[in-house]
Amino acid sequence: MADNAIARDKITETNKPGTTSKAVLISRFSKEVTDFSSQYGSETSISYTVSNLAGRSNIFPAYGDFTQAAVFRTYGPWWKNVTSSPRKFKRTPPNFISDDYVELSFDLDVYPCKIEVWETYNPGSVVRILACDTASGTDVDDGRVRWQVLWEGQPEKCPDKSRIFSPTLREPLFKTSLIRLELCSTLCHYYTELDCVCMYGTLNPCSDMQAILKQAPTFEVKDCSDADEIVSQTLKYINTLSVSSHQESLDENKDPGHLPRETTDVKQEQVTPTEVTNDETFFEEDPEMGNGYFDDLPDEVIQLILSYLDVPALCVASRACMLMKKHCYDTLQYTELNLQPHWPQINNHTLQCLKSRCHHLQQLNLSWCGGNRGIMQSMTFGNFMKECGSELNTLYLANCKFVDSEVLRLLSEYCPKLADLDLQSCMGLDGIGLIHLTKLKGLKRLNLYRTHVDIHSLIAIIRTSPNLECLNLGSCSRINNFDEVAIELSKHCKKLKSLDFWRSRTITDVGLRALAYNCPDLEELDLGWCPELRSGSCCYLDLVDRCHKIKKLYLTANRTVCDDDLNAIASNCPDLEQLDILGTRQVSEESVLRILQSCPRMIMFDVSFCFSIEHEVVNEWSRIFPNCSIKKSFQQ
Amino acid sequence: MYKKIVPQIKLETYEKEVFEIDLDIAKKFGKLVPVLQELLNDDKPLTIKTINSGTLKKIITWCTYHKDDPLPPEDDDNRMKHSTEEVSSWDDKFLQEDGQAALFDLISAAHTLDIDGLLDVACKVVATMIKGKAPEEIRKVFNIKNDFTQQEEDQVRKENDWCED
Repeated sequence: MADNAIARDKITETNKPGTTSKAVLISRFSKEVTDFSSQYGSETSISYTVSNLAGRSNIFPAYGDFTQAAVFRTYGPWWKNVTSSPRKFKRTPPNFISDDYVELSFDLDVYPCKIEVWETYNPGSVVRILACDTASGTDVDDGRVRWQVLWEGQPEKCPDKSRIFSPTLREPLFKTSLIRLELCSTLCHYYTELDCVCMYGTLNPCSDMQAILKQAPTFEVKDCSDADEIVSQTLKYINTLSVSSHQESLDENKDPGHLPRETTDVKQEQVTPTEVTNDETFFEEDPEMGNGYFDDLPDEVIQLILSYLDVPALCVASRACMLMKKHCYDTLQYTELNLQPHWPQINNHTLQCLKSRCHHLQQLNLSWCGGNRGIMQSMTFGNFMKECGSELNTLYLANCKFVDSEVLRLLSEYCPKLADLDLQSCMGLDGIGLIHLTKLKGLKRLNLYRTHVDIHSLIAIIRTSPNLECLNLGSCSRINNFDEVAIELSKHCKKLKSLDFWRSRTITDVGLRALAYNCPDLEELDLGWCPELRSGSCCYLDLVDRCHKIKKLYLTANRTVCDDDLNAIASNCPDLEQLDILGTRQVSEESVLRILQSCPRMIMFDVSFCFSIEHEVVNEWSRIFPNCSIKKSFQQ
Repeated sequence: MYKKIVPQIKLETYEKEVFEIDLDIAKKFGKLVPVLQELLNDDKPLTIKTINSGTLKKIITWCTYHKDDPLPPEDDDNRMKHSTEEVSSWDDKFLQEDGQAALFDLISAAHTLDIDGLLDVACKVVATMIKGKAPEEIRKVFNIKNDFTQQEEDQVRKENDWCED
């Protein structure tokens, strides 16, 4: 497609003037997507799936909405302010803003000096890049895996064009063939789409990455689509180079100075201040008891001060003195614990350390912790729950590989108060494991997005959860009869407010009608990519005729949604805030306009691929209805 | 010309200095407000021996500067938002300009007088002084003596080494 996308896998030999030293710069496209948090595409297809990030570019420099891109499940601020939004945790460090991640492997370990993210739609959402010490540092015995943050920054609003994002990286501490990108798509006005990721690095630590990167390529491996062959060619080439001369070049360049800023497309590097503005201390009198002015403060004030520390800072402060330890270990400091922002550091040992302080734990977020490399075991987590689960009401375990049947059995035994459980993307779970959830009688919120839940376990859970308010069954590919699920929900969960049926291919008007007749409190309903729902059955008319509290309705890619449906929505849903009718050809400008006029709270309206709605009209409406973000994606 | 008469309350400090404070400023004093209103018509000042004149002056300045701030939010979500808000540069400078002793005096006084907003922001400033520092640096900044035995120190280090790089 694009010229500059053709021969990216190459080796560059840089000769420094005046020296005989050689350094080798190697570039690689990612080989495989090894883990990710969510995706727009279906589990069984390749369109809009995160696995598209592997390999070389096939979109760039084109800009727009392409099925070959990697796309995550959500974007923008809207999904954060609805009933189903995850709980916000205290002590979340303000710089942790990641919503999604993708983990990529490469076929060679290098010291990375440059990472390129090729962004082909709504760029600006990458906020963190981490490297895993795959070469040497992973110590299987103590279960630790080292991660280094190579770059972190803020999301940006970018012009509507593709770009190769390549922020200035910190000096790598180790070789890596595994990186993670974290994304925050809150600022994006539509789904962010990524084409590919390219990593540049050296085989030996290189103190002068700047010079290496500046050198024009002098040697290229011929374009080759077979990764194995590239590796063998690379290794062959490397072996011809003198190791000792490379060593000399290292010695000459002791200064590990920071890389200069790239001229374009570089995010402002966020340097976290390690020192506070004012460290000066004034001791006007000798403290009597050895704890400085803390001796003068009542316990509750010391506790208030410590409540403003994030979890790592709280743990470090406990090492200052006995008084600090007493307060930093107080179980009241650990009623809610958000370990997700610290996922690179969380392992078996962490949970064992924190166990004695968490006896009053009510909310725990362990999402993203544990990784793929077995650094957290279900046994350790089970033991933690045994000691700390009795008051737990909220537990987030998104993408936790250690979650298995046994974990759920222990949860159901030790956490009787559990009401809010997030198991999204816990791929290690099967239907049999989920049946343990039937012992939890107080479930209000359950997220099973992208799990392997089967219909028998799911129906058993529904029958024992009369208080269920939010249920996410998006991309649950093992459920083969969503009508049955909907009918059971309508019988047993009449308090339902939010239901996510995203990509539930078997739901029909029968299931939807059962919900409409029995769940009058529904506020959020995601029926995106449910192709068996047909407008002709009047199921949408019945829905809005019964459920007047609807605030968010996603009918994405249904194709049959028509003017009658939109007119009924306009008449019946005064509280509507979000509507997605992407991909229907049946709607007219008049009925779309009627929604905008009748639903004053509208903030998001997706009319992408509605071919009867012209871009010019959308632009005009955007001027008239400035509070509503009207979406119309495009392909170049 | 009409001049509005502002009701005032009188507070006496440790140094027996009497301060007259406008009631609309003293409204920041949380649980003390009803007590102070009782004393409005009293000539005798309320004596608060634990607060010195310097600290009370700072408190009056802070309350005057923040007199039109909205009340701290009641519900959980907004409290959370409030708790993660950064300290304004004015507050930061104001709280740190007289040194650590003055800052801690201010915290104690804000606690005594039940001035939530001031207590919160001053505690945040102290927390910021703790953040990002190693145990030894924390001891140095706050003049804290390491009173662990070697064995205790090793133990507490082991229990918290997960958050080190």
